[in-house]
Amino acid sequence: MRILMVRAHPVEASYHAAVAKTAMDALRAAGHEIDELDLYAEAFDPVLSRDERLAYHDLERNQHPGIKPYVERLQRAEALVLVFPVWSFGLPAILKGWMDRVFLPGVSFTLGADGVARPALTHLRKIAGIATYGRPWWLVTFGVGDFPRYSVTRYLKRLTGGRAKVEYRAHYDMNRSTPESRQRFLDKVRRAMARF
Amino acid sequence: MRVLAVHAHPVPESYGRALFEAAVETLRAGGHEVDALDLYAEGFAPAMDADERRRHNVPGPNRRGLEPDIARLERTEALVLVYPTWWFGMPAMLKGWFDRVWMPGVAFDLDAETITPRLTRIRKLTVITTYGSPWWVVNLWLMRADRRIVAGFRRLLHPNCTQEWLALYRLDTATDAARSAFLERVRRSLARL
Repeated sequence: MRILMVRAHPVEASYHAAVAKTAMDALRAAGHEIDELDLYAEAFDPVLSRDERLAYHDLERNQHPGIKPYVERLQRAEALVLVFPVWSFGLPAILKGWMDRVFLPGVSFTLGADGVARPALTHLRKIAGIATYGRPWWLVTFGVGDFPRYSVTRYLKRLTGGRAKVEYRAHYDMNRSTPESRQRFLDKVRRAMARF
Repeated sequence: MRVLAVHAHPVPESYGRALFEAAVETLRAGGHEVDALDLYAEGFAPAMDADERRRHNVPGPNRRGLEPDIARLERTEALVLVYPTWWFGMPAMLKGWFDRVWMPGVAFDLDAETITPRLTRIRKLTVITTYGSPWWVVNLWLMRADRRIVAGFRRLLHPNCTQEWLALYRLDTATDAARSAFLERVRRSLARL
């Protein structure tokens, strides 16, 4: 499969980088073609601008030259793998901004004359989220709910028309992680991506 | 009361901006001391960079370069957020403000076992947001996803902090009357703050 892997961590020598590399190596070894979109390395600007907002619903103009390459990379993908740390209960701003700017009308959804949005990421057959959390899972889930998990398993899936198979792998409680727990998670990611 | 009103919308002539202006005006008319933070107008950079990430969990050094933003947050007694909901949450601009400014030693203290709130000066939280989707999509199908994130931040404020959530649904097809009514609702709510 052609897989778009989107990464969102600023530090090159981080555990996140090890997780992303493990996932990528396993996917390549399984014969997939990977397009790696490292949002920080490519200095992606997450801020949706005034001009973009004004042209948002104009299908002729909303894919301007600055954003079109990102749209094309998403559109040619048959699967999407997101690798990110959870910050402030959610996706890092740079990853949210990728959605804000790239998930345009005509790209991720189409708006009918009735004003109803219909999913357009129907070319995605599979989605994986791979996330690292600072806090333990019970603290994430209790009261607040695991918003980053829902973002992938529920909302992104919805944009594929519900068709994509979705999986989610998370290492919670990174603040108290051990070398063993980190290694276990890398192994889990490797196994999951080998059979993706 | 000292109020920090935070706004994130790229279009200065938008309805979203009108909501922010109405909020700030109403609060000032009510005698509050309002610090109006328009993240787009101030050119806030929402993506935390590598240097900042490396010191993010080290109270003290993590404040470097963000002192003015931190001071504005630490001195406020009420927080008002005015933003459009895009997809299932706040714009990246506003999410980045939380990512970068709500750090250990400022918003909370972190030790191995517990998280202790630090923004306990804040006793009022008001969220004013607009959705493209209808009510049932946001509240039933999306299970109020966006409110979950704010509920997380709410835990870092005063334990008795009150919260108000004002939302306008189906913005793209909302009539002028619906928009005016919502503006009025925002004014009424903030006049009581």
